[in-house]
Amino acid sequence: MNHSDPDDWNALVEQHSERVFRTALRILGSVQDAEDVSQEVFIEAHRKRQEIRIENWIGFLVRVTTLRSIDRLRQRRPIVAVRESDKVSLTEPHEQASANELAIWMRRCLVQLSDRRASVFVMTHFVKLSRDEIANSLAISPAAVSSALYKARQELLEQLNIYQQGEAK
Amino acid sequence: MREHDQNDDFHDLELPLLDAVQATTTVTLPADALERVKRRAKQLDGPSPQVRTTDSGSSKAISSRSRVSALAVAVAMIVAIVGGLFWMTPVGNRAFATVIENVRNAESLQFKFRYQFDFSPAVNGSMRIRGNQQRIEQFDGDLISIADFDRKEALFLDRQRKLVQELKLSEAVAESFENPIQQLRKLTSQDAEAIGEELLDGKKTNLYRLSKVNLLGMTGDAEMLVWVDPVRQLPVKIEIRNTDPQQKMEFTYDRFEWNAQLDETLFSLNIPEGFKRGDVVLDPAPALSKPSSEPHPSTFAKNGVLSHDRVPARIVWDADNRITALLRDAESVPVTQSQPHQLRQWDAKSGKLLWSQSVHGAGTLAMNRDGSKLATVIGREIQLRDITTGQVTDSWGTDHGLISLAISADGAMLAGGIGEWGKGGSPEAGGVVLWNVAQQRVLRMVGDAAEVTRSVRFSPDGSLLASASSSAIKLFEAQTGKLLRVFPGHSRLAFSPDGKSLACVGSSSSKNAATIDLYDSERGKLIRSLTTQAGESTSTILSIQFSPDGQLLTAGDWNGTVSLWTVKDGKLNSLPTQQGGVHAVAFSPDGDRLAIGTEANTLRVLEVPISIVR
Repeated sequence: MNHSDPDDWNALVEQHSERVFRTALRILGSVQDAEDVSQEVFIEAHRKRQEIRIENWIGFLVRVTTLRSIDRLRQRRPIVAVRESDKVSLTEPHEQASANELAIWMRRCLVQLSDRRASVFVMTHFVKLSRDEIANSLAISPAAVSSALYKARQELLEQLNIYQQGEAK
Repeated sequence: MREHDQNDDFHDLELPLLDAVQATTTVTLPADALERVKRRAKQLDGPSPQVRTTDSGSSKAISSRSRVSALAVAVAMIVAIVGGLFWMTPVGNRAFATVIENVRNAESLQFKFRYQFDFSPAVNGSMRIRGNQQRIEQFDGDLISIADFDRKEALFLDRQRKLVQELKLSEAVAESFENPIQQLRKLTSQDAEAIGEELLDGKKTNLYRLSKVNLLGMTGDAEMLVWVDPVRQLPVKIEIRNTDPQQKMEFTYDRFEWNAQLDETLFSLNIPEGFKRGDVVLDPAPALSKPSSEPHPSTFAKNGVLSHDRVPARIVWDADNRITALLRDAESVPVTQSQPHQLRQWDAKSGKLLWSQSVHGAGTLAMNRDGSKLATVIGREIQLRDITTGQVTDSWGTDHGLISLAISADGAMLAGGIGEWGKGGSPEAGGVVLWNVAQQRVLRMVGDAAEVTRSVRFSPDGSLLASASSSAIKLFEAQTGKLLRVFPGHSRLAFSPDGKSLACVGSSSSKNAATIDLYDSERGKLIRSLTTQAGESTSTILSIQFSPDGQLLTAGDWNGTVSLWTVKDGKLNSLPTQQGGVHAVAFSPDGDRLAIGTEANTLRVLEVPISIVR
């Protein structure tokens, strides 16, 4: 793996911008929002770099990108839980549900998770980091990552179940 | 949660969720947008207005203070002259001269404190200082002490009983107003030693240890740690503790507000309305049970708590009697409040903290037997660190995610256990990668590349390498990578000091107990099976180690049990059950003591019971 000189800001941007932008885009699904969040992340990174020595740039950038993106997702979309009452709002059967609708559903559910659970889920399944990498990035133990991931999945599955029941009607 | 600790199916996803994830992550990355992101980010590295603001801000603060007080100018000049004499002393000392100067120049300040004497409830309060006036509030503000050192008078208020007591500020009464700021003002920069950097509330601080402490009965071997804001060059936290951990005596001062606007009335010695004269404090030294000033023996306590603020996830006790530990937040700490991991080292003889470094997400650490090489892994970077300061001396990257680490006894080879989980949940990468440390060159990969390596160890002579996955323990010839033998076992292993036996975590008949199997490493023959006492919850051994003489074996379990066996007869001695899971166990070089790191934020040192006949 190439490690850029931490003093070389341009090299650092070159090395990590795609990962930051892709992560933001996957979470947000909007190019405009992902660009904005990426810019916020690099501003924060630039400021932090003057205050402290960041030893794990990937971990730092993925963490900040994930949290900022989830924040933005929360601001953008009204938090409406997928409850019993939502079942009627979706008419297509699951088999026919477009990928687009599934993605919208996923983002709507993500913002209802706690920060930790949402970040761990996103870092695992959107960014494909290993458990230890996530633990490193969030500065929590691997066991805490597993626990958060397990709970995030349970919550999402529960929501998905309601969603699918709604569709089947 | 514990059931998931060792799950390999990390990326495995239920089918409907997998569909949703795929739908969400299937996005095309527009190249033009990415270019815009890069361009804007690169533009950030122009001249930094932030740095200029900070610099001018601090110099302005100093100059305005200097204008206010002619005395302060004089002090500053003296300090500057004295400071000039230190130009040849280490940087830490010079930097601390500025801190002392700024402390002396401060006109007022307020801060919180916490006094912990032995195991009695902690005393919390706040202190305000303005010139020679002082106000202390304790017990939720029910006890207020005000002193005027110019008038040599003090006032004690009991707000519960509406009582007030006026006292002359005798030496005994003055003791109750002791604070670390008076200490700092008296010190010289030569009393300070820079021992590292730490992040406090997300901000970088420089950490100093001061050798001269005389506060509330703590003298001699007590140590004072001062965290300094590097921009303002003023303390943000001060900790004074008795280095005898058995005494658990600790004073913490934080939330400093320097040059705060403090109202005159806070320091008024007038009797407030509605208060009657009475005995608020019978003893001239109120509120605090003063500890003994008897110096404790310089030897380290037999059974004591060395650290109790963070979780020691890995501990190494080296031949020079230093304890190095990787500390992180407990799982109960919310992610928004989590602090970076820390690498700290104590002198095990005196219990003194030698250094501390923030290491962000370091996952593991390794040290060779003589303690000459210390390594950590952060993300996909391996760092070699100076054993006396904890600072990174060398680092190199790797393509592999490493979850375990070992250094050969001579420090020439480094082994990293690979653990990566891919899409679909199956282990994506495993095995062990071996480096030549001097050349930072990969020597070879050994083991099954699909088998996640949870633990890796060199034999004491460096000729053998053993790795533990979740299904087997494999023994390799380190020089050639040749697989010599496979042992039934999983997760954790340890070589005996003579290299002749290998302890492997084996399968157990009971869910709440574990079995450690001892094998003859050369012939592969099972020598003995050792079983732990059943704990209160599912057993997961996280750390095993032989004593340096090879006669004892210890194992730390996530269910809180710490087991100690005599190897020759397999006799089990269970040590007291620890609160929280046990992450790490380490023997002292003489084998008489054990360091135990638990999820309950505790690094404890226990004496090996004398009843255990070796």
